[in-house]
Amino acid sequence: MIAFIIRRLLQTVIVLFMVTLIVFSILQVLPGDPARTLLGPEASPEQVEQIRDELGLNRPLPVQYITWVEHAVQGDLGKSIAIKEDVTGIIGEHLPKTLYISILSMVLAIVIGVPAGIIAAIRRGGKIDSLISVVSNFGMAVPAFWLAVLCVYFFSLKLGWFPVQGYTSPFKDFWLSTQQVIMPVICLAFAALASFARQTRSAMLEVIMQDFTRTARSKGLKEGTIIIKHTLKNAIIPVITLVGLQVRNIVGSTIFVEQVFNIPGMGRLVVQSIFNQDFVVVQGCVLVIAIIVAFTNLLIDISYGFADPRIRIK
Amino acid sequence: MSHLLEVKNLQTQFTVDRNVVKAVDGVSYYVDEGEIVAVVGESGSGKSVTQYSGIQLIPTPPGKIAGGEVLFNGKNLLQISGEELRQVRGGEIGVVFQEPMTSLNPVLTIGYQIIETIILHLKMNKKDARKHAIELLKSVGIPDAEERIDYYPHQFSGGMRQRVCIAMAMACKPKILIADEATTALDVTTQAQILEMLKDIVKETKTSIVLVTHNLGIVARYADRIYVMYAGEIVESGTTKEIFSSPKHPYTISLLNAIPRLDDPKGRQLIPIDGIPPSLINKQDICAFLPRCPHRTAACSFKPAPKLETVSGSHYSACHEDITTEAIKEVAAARATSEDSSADAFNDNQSDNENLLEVKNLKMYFPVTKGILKRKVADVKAVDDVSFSIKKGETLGLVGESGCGKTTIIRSILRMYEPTAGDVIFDGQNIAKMPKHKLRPIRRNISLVFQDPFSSLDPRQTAGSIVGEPLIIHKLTKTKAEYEKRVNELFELVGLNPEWKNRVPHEFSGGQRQRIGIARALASNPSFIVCDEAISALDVSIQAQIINLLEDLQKKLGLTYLFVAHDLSVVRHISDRVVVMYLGKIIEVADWKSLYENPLHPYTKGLLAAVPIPDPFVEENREHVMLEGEIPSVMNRPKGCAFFNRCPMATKECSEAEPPLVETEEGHSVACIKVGKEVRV
Amino acid sequence: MTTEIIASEKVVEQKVKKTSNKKRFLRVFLARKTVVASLAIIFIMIICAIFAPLIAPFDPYKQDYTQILADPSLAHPLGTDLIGRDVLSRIIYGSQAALLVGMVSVAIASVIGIILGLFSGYAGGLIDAVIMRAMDALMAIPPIILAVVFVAAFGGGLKNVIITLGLSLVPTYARLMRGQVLAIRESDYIVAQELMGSTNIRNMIKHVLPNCLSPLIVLITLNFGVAILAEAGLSFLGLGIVPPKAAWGSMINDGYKYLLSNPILSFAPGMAVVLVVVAFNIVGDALRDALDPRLKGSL
Repeated sequence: MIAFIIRRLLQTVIVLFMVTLIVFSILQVLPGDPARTLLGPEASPEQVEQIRDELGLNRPLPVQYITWVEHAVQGDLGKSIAIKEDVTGIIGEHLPKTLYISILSMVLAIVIGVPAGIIAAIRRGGKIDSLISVVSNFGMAVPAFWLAVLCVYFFSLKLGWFPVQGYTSPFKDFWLSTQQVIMPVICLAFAALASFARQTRSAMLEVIMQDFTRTARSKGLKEGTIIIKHTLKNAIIPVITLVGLQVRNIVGSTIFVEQVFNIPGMGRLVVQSIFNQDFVVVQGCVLVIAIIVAFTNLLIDISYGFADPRIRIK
Repeated sequence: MSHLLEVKNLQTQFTVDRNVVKAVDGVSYYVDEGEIVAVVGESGSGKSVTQYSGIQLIPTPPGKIAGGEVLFNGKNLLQISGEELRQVRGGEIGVVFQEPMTSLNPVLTIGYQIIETIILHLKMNKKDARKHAIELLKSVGIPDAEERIDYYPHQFSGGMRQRVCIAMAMACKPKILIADEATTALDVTTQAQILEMLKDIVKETKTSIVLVTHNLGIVARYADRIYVMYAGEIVESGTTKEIFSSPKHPYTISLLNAIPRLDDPKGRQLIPIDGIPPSLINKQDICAFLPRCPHRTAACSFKPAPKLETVSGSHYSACHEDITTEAIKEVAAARATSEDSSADAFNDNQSDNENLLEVKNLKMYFPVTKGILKRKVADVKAVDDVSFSIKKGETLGLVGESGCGKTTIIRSILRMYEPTAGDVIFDGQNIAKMPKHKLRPIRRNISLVFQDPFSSLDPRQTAGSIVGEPLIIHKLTKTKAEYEKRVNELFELVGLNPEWKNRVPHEFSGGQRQRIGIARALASNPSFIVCDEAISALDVSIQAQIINLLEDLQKKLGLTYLFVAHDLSVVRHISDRVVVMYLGKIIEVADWKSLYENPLHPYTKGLLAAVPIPDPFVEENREHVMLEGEIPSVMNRPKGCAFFNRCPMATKECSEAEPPLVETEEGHSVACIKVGKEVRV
Repeated sequence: MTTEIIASEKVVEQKVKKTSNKKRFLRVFLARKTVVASLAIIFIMIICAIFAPLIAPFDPYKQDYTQILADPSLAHPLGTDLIGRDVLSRIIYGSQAALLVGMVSVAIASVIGIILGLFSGYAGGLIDAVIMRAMDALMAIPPIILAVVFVAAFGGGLKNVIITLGLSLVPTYARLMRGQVLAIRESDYIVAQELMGSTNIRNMIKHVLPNCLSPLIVLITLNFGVAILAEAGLSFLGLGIVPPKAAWGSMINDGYKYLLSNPILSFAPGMAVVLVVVAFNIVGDALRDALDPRLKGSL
């Protein structure tokens, strides 16, 4: 098991190395000259050239790449061109907000989606099953940003239940923060929730068809006992896999939801920086997000071992 | 007199693709206390569904119990539900399923799975239940039960898992134990151990056992009474002796004629049952065996399906005709081509022929890796220093139980693996280390017939293109017309209609698919064919067809076979010489006669003793010497003789050195110091 | 003897009516009304995209300053936007972008992904490791963020959106194919090929690929929806289809500013996205059930 974890850890490091390569090479083709952006349109070509030298932009690409990775490893993601601050600092300010709503969404999606899937599987073919299947079908098709627009219209503008937008730290004003966060979290969670419901349902049905479920029945166990003790423990394994995928999707969707609800998190930072041609920030953001996703996937792989004795005990 | 279990006119149906499948069609039988009742039939005969219907284990939908009664202790099990039903399940009727690998929940410990049953039915507290579970595990022969109770299923071998399943089914001392092909997936010696154990259970606890199986040998050895099922109906029933001594139904008769026996005269022609079992979709009211029946008369096709009628005493049969012993003989004689000629074929003296294949000191090791960097820490010696040869035109049987290395040998010979060491000399060329491109032309001359007729044919290709593939790869035909002609020829050669060329594999039955596989193997005109358990996935009634086809082709084309199988009766029937393997080594080689009539190695003896013979009169007088224990893992091969810890003859010196393979008489070699000595004295 | 076998086989070839594969497929596939409805939606969308000029009541670019932010009426069933363009017509024209993005980006993704996956699965070793780690790396970045960055780097517009989405969908196909190849490689019929001395390329194209088709078709169908959703998302952020070209995502964004007064400006294009994506998802699921019952839930 420990060997497995260490091997997986090494794999994650390799993956992250590839991520840096991808991020670095994409951003080489970003439009606009950072030096020009930094100095403004009035600067003379000589000044631009001088800044380019200072920023190290005139050095060969491999050297630039190595310097960037070297600094990144030490936690230095460079300096923003537009706001002229440390990127690490900027991200440090934006990241907690995104993490907060993302984690809440993930919890919500699991807490509602998984039981919904279980119920649908137990009541297969029944009314509840069809209802859950319709909702999850739509859940997976509704764009998060459009859902956000709908929410704003009905719950804020028409019903006035929640504020239209804004973000307050829960430590500052918990009540206001919660009010502001409810709609974004629902919008983020909805698609993931639908996926969890579907995956749980089909995993449950798959397990119910297995021989050992028949064995459990032949022993005279109650259906409820079979579901809770026998089926669920097996069905949870593919559901765990889905968590990894959904982390990606939820973090990705923050880009829209933060935009609509005006939350100053990572998603909005990425979009703003793109419009500001602030490629150093974009680079940093993408890297940080990739690290988060890669490490959640690592954790998920490890948690397999705990869910499945076939992996834990060889 | 009332029976413990009485099933009356049971009807179970499935709705598949909007068609009704009558899986069980008016079945009646009974089980009394303390008896072993066998329900015999091939796959699809409805034998398992019958059993599951009684305790409502049929998935509904698509299943439906359309009629009948299942009276257990006077209660109709089909009309109870909820708590009452669950009391019966596991409490009074226990089930052991076929697949030990999938029947236990992989994420729960075996202890948990047994204890939950005990708590549920016997209302014990956790501590007592655990004690009881440990006792149960001990009673089914699980060593170190105290520790192993907390193991997960994947930590046990197949045989051990089946023991766990039996312990679980027996946990609450049920009145009836249903064993549904419970030993089919197991090795012969394990199978014998488990069946003996079940027999002891009956003696001790008065529990009745319903033995659901396709294996007539098992039935003859263990059952008191038999029900023979075909196409969802019982076609014959009676005591074991009645059925075997004077079978009345043509299906039973044909079945007994189709299977090879361990005590057959060599050269006995197997008489296959033609065709395939009928589809149960929209079944007509007509004798289901009619199209395959060698005794059918014109009148049969106008009569409704025959009912079970008394033959004598407790012997019943469902057939319109009263088939006399003479009629049976006549038909058998007409269908078997002269026995003498086939006997001649076996007496052919091949000892003068030169070797086609010679395997010398073959070693195939697989590395065991450990740790983060997958460092090699040891070798698994899957095949360790094996030598044998096959002469042109002969059939060499290779037998052994799982893990003995027979698959690895095949793969090494076929060069799916590159052997670690040793020579494989085929037709004068050493192919053991030959590079791939040089090997390609040689591949033409060696073919493989696979075990599984389903997975060995590409489901997306037509039968014709599957058979023609070797012709294209080896560029054996020049024109399109020539290609088509050759494919047609091959179809006819294996007894398939060339018009079926454009069908895809799933449109064929298992036996027909195996014929396609054989046609493909023959396409490049090879001299040597490896049959890897080529008939073991087929139904009993189909096996004889394929065995006869293989024998026929050998005569016609002068083929050389390496016939790998675990079924010792079949190997005996088809082989000229036999190699017995145990844990990666050859322990005995001899011509079939000396091996089966005078086995020397204690393992060979145990193996043969474990094979039941489909004849209760023979079985009565046979000594049942069981091999104890299980085959050790190849990973930790015991020192000295690998068979040491299971051997009844073992002494201390056996554990000290590996016994060499010594020729004791001409053509008969054995690897055992005990036996070798005896002969030398 | 052999002729005897042939004869007997013929006797036995009973007329058991096996429902043909195609029939079974169609019956399972079209079993539910939702599937038929979904097919109808997809069909209507394709018709709209192809015959937009004939179907749309107005020119989607024509600005009518007398009809700014008009409420729905007979002339403009879904009203007009802030420069007086007919919303219905713009939605109809928007289907062109959606369809094009869906089709071409999925085509790009599947072709590249299939090739990478086949190669990776069959070659194994270092090549496999490098390709798969690269795929892992691509998958570590949320696809929409990857797409946003791609578009920022290469510029917006239909062509770049298509390429971008195509590339970000590659890993799914590569992984699926690799898994399939690894599974099929182990099967006896490929072993049979190898024992005949068949080449790897022949095996891949003639035997492995055809047997991977079922899950691929399902994935492709589901990915149409994914691509359309992503295109709408990019356009919503202003990083996708460049205005004034009609795109559902940018219409939602434009309408957002008038949410209180004219909610239909956002609702209608959103509805279009949802309907089309739901339709593709339902069809994909039905295909999965119909192509292979054992496949359920394995994607």
